[in-house]
This record gives sequence, C-alpha cells and structure tokens, in this order.
Amino acid sequence: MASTATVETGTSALEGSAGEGPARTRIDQLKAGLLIFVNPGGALKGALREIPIPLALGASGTAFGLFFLQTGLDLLRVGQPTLPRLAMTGNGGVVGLCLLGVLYGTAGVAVLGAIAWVATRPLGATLALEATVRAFALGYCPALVYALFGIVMNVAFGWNTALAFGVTGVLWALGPMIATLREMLGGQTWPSVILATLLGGLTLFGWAYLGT
Amino acid sequence: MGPVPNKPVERTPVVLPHWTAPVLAFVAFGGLVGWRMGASALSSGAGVVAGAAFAFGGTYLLIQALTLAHPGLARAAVLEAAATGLLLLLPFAILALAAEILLGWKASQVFSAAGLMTACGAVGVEVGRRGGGKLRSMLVPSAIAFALSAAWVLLSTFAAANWKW
Repeated sequence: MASTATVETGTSALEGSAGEGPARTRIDQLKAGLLIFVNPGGALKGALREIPIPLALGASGTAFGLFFLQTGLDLLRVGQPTLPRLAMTGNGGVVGLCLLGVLYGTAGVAVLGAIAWVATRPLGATLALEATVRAFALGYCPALVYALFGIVMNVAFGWNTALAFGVTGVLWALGPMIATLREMLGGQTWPSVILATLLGGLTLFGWAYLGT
Repeated sequence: MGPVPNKPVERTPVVLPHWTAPVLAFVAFGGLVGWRMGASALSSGAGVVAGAAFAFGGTYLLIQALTLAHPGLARAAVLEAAATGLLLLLPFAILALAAEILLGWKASQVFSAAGLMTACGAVGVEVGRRGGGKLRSMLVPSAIAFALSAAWVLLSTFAAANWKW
C-alpha cells in the first residue's frame, strides 16, 4: 500500500498472477482470508488472488452449507418443516437444506459473480470472469468464520443461530463485495454501492425464500 | 512521528457531506427500532431522532479519533475518507428496511452492527490510501466501530424492551 499513490484499477490487481513470483504459502492465504475482515480490497489483491477457483467456491459453498444447516437445525428445534419447498421434514430435511446451501454457495455465488461481471461491463470493467467469480467467492471468507462459530454454538448450546451468525456472516460479505466492485470499476463508489445492495439483497432474500 | 504527506487518490468524488450516509442509515435503523417500541408514528419518530443524533455523534467521534491518530493528515482528507467509507452503511440500511418490511424480520441490529464494522473499516482503508498510518488507520476505526455498534445494540435493545409508546 505504501507504494501505491492511486487507487489501483483492480483490472490486474485482482487477476491471478501465475509466474509473478514465488507461490504464496497456505499460511499467507489463511492470513489474507482473515485480513478480509478489516481490509477486503487489500486481501483480495494480495495472497487470495492465488487461490484456485474450486477452492474459492469451496469456501463459499462451505459457508452457505453451514448457514443452511443452522437454519435446518433451528427449524427442527422449533418443530417447523425444515425444507418446506421440497416438502422435506425432520433430519432428512436438515441434510437436504445443508446440501441446498452448498449448491447455493457454489453455483449460486458463481452466478452472482457472473451477474456482477455482466453488469459492470457497460461501466468500464475489464476484469476477467474467472477473477470476478473468485473474488466474489472469497468474499464469503468472513461468512465462513461466522458459520463455523455459529454451528458450534448451535450444536453445543442448542442456540438458534441462523439469524445471529448466518445472516451476520452473509452481511459481512457485503464489504468484500463492494471492495471487489470498486476495484473492478476503477474506484467508482456509487455504482459499487448500488450493485452490492442489489446483489447482497439477492443473496439474502434468496436464502429467505429457499430456506424458510 | 512527523507529518505524513497526503497522497493523491484518483476516484469518483463523493459529493455528499461526510455525515449524510450515516444519518440516513441510522434514521432507518432508529425508525425500525422505534416501530418495535409501539408501532406508532410517535415511537418511530423518536427512533428516527435518536438514530440521527447517534449518527451525528458517532461520525464526530470517528473523525475526531482519526484526526487525533493522524496529526499529519489534513482534516479535509479525513473528512473525504469518512464521506467515502461511510457510504457503505447505506446497503445495510436498505437491506434492513427490506428485511423488516417485506419479510417481517426483527433483526435491524444485526444489519446495523455489521454495517458499522464494514463502513468504519472502509473509512480506515480510505485514510490509509490518503497517507494515514497502516496500523492506526485499521485499528482506530475498528475500535470505534466496535464501541458504536455495542452502544447502539444496547441502547436499541433497552429501548425496545422497556419503552412502549
């Protein structure tokens, strides 16, 4: 950051950097995954851009899988159908909801990244689709941390955690999402905020539609 | 540490004053809390006023803390960073309104806490971009955000539980 006098356009900063230097270690990537809490833009431009897409989507898929699992456990505890849209109840419904969460966090997040990629083209973004999807998926690292804490509290103490931990985690992803969009749009704040509101709403209310 | 040279930052200028986004956001959060206190125009109005006052106070506190932590940084640069970073509160406020009105969730505190942490963090990043100390520009806003979100959650929980208008 010290050598950066202007906002980087992000067109190259968020791209993968094969052949740019020695490969980052897993520890660097883990640190960057946690750094995303305080400086999402910096983390996404740093060690995280080396992470392969399947691993990035694995992080978001796990986060949503655990989030949906908590939803299922909460619903089971209060005696409501756990997967009402597929008429599944009980433990089978909980497992079904968890699998739906994994699908939502992988395919759904990839689609979200693709929507952002398409929507930012007319605004001048040139970032590759692959890099966009990777950045969007990695933006859910904070959600993964919240989901892990949430599932521990849910199972160990019997708390209803879907709203307190799950939704909070998904909301935390708005920060990295806005940072990614700003980098894609060369530092334009307003379009990034508007797009992130729409995409964040799509994610959150998609969960509400599918999971409750 | 001597004065830190302010760095030029290329970006779309944020035309709104630095307090606009937090006030708009906390008017929404306050209105939602107020509605829970009695579902009346009076209770919502009280929430709106409390939210606006909280936003003005919180923004002032954040800017004072950042100015004190970065004596070499021009106040205009801090205000500009605040104006840009605090815009990130708006998506959280809009989603909180949508969640409460359309879905009937009573979870505006989750949105306000996450919004405060994200927006204050973004202010820190913006201060860092303008030449602020790397560590201080991250720690100071995070500490202020933590204090403000704890204060808002405590205040709004107490109000919703004890004051019925």
